[in-house]
Amino acid sequence: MSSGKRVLDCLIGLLMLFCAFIILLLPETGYVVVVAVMDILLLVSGIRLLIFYFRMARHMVDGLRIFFKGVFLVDLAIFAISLNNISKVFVILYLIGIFAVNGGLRAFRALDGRKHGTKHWRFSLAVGICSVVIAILALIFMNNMYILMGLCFICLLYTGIMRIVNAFKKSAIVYVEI
Amino acid sequence: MQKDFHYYATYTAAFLAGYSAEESRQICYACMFTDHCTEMLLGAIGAPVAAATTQLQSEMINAPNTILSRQNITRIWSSFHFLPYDLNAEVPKCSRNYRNKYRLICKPNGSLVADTAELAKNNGSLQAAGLAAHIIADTWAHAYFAGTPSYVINNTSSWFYEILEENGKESERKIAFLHSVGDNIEKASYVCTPPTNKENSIFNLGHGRAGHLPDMSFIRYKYLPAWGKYESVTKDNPSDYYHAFCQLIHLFKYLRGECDSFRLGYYEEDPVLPWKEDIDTVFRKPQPDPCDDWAALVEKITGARIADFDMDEYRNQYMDAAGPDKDNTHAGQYFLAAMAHKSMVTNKIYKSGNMLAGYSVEYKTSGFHGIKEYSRLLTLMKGGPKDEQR
Repeated sequence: MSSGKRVLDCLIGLLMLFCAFIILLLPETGYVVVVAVMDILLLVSGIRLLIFYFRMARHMVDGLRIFFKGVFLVDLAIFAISLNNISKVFVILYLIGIFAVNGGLRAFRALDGRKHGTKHWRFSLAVGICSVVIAILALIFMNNMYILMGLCFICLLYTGIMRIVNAFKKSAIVYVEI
Repeated sequence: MQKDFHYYATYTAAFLAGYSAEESRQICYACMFTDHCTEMLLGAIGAPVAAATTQLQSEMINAPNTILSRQNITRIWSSFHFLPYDLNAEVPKCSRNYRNKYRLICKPNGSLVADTAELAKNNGSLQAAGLAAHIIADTWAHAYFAGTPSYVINNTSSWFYEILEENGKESERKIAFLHSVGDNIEKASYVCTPPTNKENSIFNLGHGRAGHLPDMSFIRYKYLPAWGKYESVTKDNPSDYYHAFCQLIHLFKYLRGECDSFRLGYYEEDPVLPWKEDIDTVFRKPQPDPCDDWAALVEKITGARIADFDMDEYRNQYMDAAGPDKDNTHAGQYFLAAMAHKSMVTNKIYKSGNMLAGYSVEYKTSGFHGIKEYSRLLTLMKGGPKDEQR
């Protein structure tokens, strides 16, 4: 990883931590921000697909599908932004889905690791189970704004810390001629 | 390729090249171990995880979607299973990212194949020979796919046909790809990874979108590779596997010092001729697992059966060895060979201006600045752990 990328990763990590604490301290404002961010992410993903088509996919077999998908997503995002009010249920369901899938996959890997005799499978399994349990609790108390914001806080906190930690990892492969 | 080639056929090739039965067994074990040496296994036995030569599905699915993670995936799969053919290939009017991915497409007889043979020769261990055999054999099976996650390179369309031959007449039938149930050779339906247009999804790694077809010795097929500008590619696995077999014999003869250089595009057929028909019959027989046929053929050619592959065979020897003695064990020698090869391929990719496999720092010019585990390679540079083992 280049030094510039390391610095950028660090800054993004710090920004995520800052946003996490804003959401924790101001949940009402946080909800509006989360919905706005999700709208913008949808728009960005559509634009990214279009860029991906012009930079990469136009060279491939059936690449035109990417172009049409990009146009569709941009259209959908503009429509979503134009809506005045999006039900909190959709937002929380989306976040619960992300938590449950990530937790399930982590637990699956931990059990795989146990089968192969690794040492750290217990921690991974605990994190995986916690994620699934949080998702289930959020599903039960779905109308609670604070739970929704709590989920966002945990997501951003974890991602932000991991981003900063990874930015400092040594990554170069040493070539020793023999 | 699978156990039939990496274990049994490699054993046979080593034996026909002049290695003893015991030496051939160590070579084919190392060759087969390349499909089992995961970070998870290395972590469990306290070995350097930098020596990983493959990844479990769960490791890949759980890998974070970061540049470092993708570089790790690319290092492993490009180095050991999809050796790039031409790191300086030019594609007109394309982005740098597309060109970098295109340059990682695997094909036989690229310059990295010669580098692989050279490195195994300098290393001198039987484990290095087995590792090189795996890598070179896979360049035949995995041709036209790249060892990096890439939708624009590795995706396949539904235009996929099996070429059948009966009484000298060729016919075609459409191949169906499914994402859940097992392969059905009779109905020409095979399992493949689910389609996704995410460029860096692990479902788009290597030949995942074409299922296990490249790993089946009997099949002949034609399809449209994503990078191929709508020109079809015909893959003749029986012929490719035969060429791979003969090239391995040439590799082993080179490593034994029976020829001065490793020649690209040269296939050592003379030792194979008495058994050519038998080998060809096994290669062409439609079956999901030809290991039993290969085991019988090994017995016919070498006069003895070989023990089945057990991935834990050398585990205790490594774990019981103390400190520096670990590098002298069978597994220790294999790990050194794997790290040396990975660092060599990463360096070549990096020096071609391609960052997909990550940064490479040359010890000779810059000293030791990088992942600590690679410091073990310094023992190889200084002449190896024990000369009598080399």
